[in-house]
Amino acid sequence: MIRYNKNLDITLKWIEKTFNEDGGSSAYYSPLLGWSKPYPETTGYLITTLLNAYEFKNVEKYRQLAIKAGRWLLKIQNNDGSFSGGLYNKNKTNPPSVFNTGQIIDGLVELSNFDQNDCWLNAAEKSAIWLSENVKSDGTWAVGNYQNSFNPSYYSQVTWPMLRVWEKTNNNLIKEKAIKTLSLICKKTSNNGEILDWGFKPNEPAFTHTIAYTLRGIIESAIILDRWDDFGCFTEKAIDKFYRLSELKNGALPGSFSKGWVGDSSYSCLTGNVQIAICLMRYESLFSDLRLVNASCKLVDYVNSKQKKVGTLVGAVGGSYPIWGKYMFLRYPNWAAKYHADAIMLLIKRLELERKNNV
Amino acid sequence: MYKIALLAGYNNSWTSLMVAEKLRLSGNKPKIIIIAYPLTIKRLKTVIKNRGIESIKNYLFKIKKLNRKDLLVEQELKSIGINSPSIKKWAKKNNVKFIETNNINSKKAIEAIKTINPDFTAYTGGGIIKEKFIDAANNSIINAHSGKMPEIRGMNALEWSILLNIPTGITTHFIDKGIDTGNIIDWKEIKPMDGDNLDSLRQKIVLEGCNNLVSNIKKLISGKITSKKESSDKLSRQCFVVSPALEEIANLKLNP
Repeated sequence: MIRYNKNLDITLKWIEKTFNEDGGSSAYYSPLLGWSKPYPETTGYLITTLLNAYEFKNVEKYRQLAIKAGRWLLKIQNNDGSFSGGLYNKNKTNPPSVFNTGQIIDGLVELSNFDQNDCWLNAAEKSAIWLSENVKSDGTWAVGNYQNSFNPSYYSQVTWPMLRVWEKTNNNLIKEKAIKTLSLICKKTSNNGEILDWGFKPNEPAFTHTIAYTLRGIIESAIILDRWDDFGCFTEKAIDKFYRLSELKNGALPGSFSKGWVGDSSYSCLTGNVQIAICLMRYESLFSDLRLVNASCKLVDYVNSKQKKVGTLVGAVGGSYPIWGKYMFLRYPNWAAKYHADAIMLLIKRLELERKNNV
Repeated sequence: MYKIALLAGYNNSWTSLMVAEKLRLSGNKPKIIIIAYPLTIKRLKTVIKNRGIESIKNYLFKIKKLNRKDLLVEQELKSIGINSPSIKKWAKKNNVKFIETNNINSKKAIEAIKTINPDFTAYTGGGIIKEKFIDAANNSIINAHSGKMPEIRGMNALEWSILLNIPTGITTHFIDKGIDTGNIIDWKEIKPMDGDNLDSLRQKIVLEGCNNLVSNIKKLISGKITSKKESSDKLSRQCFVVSPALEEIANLKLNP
């Protein structure tokens, strides 16, 4: 799978570049403004990517970088276990954020698999307890939302890391609260497969980025709980829709969707494309069908074709294509590179398995 | 006397010519041939808008590659003295009416097929057919699909049969408004032989497809066979163009 390895290598190099001396990763690079401040949220889930890369490539420096990032996150964790939202500013502490805390938990749990120190899981559990204690009886969060009291459906991407902590600690409070939120999200599924509130704001078009967060969170939560028929099944219509769209659009999905699956094709959200590829592959890991892998190839191939290959930005993946598209206008976010690397690693593993099993 | 129509995707098509000639030899010469060129400026613009200019390069490359699939058909026709693939020439020589259109679903094509009021219509190309045309053709359009239905529906049927471990061969079926969802007339398995690769197997399947299309029309006319609808819950995901990574694996599976 040489064609994919080349792209993976330059993406990983770009990811390395995003990290500063302290261990935080800059949220994005802007050709006009340069590197942004470090972003705790995405530094958190980049740890998982680095540790996957360490395993995949057998390169120790990725594990070391992941540990360095983890240490930085522990330093900035709030006393109540939460993490603050927004970009890191040592002179100002932002309010705690439900979503960002969830993504950091993901990295901390992953670190506990690769480093013997108890500090990772302890910190992750503390964060998960903060999240659990703040879940109201209806499954919503009163504090730490990105938009006032709006609880988006992509909070399934928070229930997933919560359940990862439960898997390791058996803390049933965490499981109970994650299920409460997950149930609420699944109830928002429409007959056509759309899930209400899967965008940043209510009643506005949703980027494929947050749509994929929603689907992935539900899929992974259902896998951990081993309750596909209670939760995972709610993603099936959307998965099928994205399968067809990925094929029909040859990997260039519309950047966002309004109600009724009305796509905005004036741009493509590159991170959303590769995140959807991951969703298709994770679904396929349960219901084996190479057709879904084919659609994932189209999505990844499209993003590969738009990745920077020359100049100072080699390896960077834009928020949108064209770069002036509505998602992360004129910026190269670190999470686009993260999901690009994640998708390629997953795809190579799947293709290698197919090759091994049949040849 | 049964009325047969033939649909073709371009003029110099060995496969369309093969079906026309075999129909003639079986005593069921087509009453009309409709040549619908699916490559129009409007279509090109839509493809570029949706898929980018690279897709045109890929498409042209595919056409070049697909031309190889009718090699055995060409050889067989040449062996019986037909040396030009032109359908128009063949139609003139055999006194068969033909019309040309940029769109199989155009008024012109619909009127033409209505006038003939066909009992059976052999599909050998011309793009995606919409319900209006299917109705105008009395739901009589028959296609030879290079895969087992309902398991394999859509594009690159041979590659998908290999990738999904489904027997390779030809399904003859009626065309309805869905993608390869119409009533099934016949299935014929064509097993790969030692040394076969995707191209060589495809050539055999295409040749057999032409033969089966004609022989099944003959059987339908004589009432020897009927068609059968598959229940919708048996329908599998539609297949699309195989990506380069999976095409590599399909080739390896066929010829490790």
